[in-house]
Amino acid sequence: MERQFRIYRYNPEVSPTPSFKTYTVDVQPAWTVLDALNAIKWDQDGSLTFRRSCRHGICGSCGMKINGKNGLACEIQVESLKGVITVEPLHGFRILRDLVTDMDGFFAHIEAVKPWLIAGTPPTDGERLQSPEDRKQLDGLYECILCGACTSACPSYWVNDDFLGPAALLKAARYVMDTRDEGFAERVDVLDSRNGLWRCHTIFNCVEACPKSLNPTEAIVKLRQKLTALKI
Amino acid sequence: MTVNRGHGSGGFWWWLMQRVTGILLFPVLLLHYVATHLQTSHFVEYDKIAARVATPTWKFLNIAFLTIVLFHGLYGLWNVLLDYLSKKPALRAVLFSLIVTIGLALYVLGLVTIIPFSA
Repeated sequence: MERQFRIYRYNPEVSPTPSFKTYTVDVQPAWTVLDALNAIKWDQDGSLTFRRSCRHGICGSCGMKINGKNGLACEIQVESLKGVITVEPLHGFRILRDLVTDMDGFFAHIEAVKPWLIAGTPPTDGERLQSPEDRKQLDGLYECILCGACTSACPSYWVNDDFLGPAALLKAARYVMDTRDEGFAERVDVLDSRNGLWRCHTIFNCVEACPKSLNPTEAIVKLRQKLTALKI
Repeated sequence: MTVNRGHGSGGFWWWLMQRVTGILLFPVLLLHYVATHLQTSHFVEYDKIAARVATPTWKFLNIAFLTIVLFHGLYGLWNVLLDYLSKKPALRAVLFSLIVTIGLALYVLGLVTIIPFSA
């Protein structure tokens, strides 16, 4: 079945002005948008540039805006989309070329919240165990694949890319809520900074955008509760 | 790549005060609305209003209302402006000073209006 794909094209070495180019693809049953993008790149236009890796919704490489909504190209079935399919890079990030965005700032913010276990005791020979109940508290926090869909959907981030953003705050919550972690005080500086927790205006776009159905807004509320308990 | 964190506390106490004033705003606003707009008399008479405003309870309520509304409204405005001012420290300082000045001026204006009423 033939489908049309209207794809954002931008190559600063050729033209400073971005444009859209439409491709017609003979789509096979059960194809994802990524399959169609691959077909365009391999058979029609080798200059089309996009990130992809695992094809299974795990690596987070192929985050992009498809028919106006953020998602993973490898997870969205072409059959689920109507009409001409518009594919754009994630909003809010600097566009390097076509569908490829500059994620340096995004990952700098992730790193700023110290996304690793900070334990007060020296490492043991085995694993640091926790009860099933404690482990369950991390559900909805640990599954983030760092695709950037949530941060890219955040209006606070659009106007202020210094804001840590929902992905970094969700990552912070993943460690702060871990009963084995004792690093909350170390993370307070960045969480309680001018561009930290308080720049979230609970707009909930991040919740809608997450392809893994996570809830960064709830994670931010949990961090605020934890910070309130620490300060008062 | 460095991360622009800003200086010192990013505003936990400001945020908490915004929540507290937001919660307090509801009963105080409701009381103000009922007393001002749903009173039994169809006519707003100066003497009646002046006599009510002169009572200690209403003075306290009106000053509380003034304080809560000014803080909540102006901090809300500042919070929106902050989104746009992360990379503009000079403009941020100017606008913060302006908002504080406007807030203090309105507060003083409110106080000199409320306090002189006497029974």
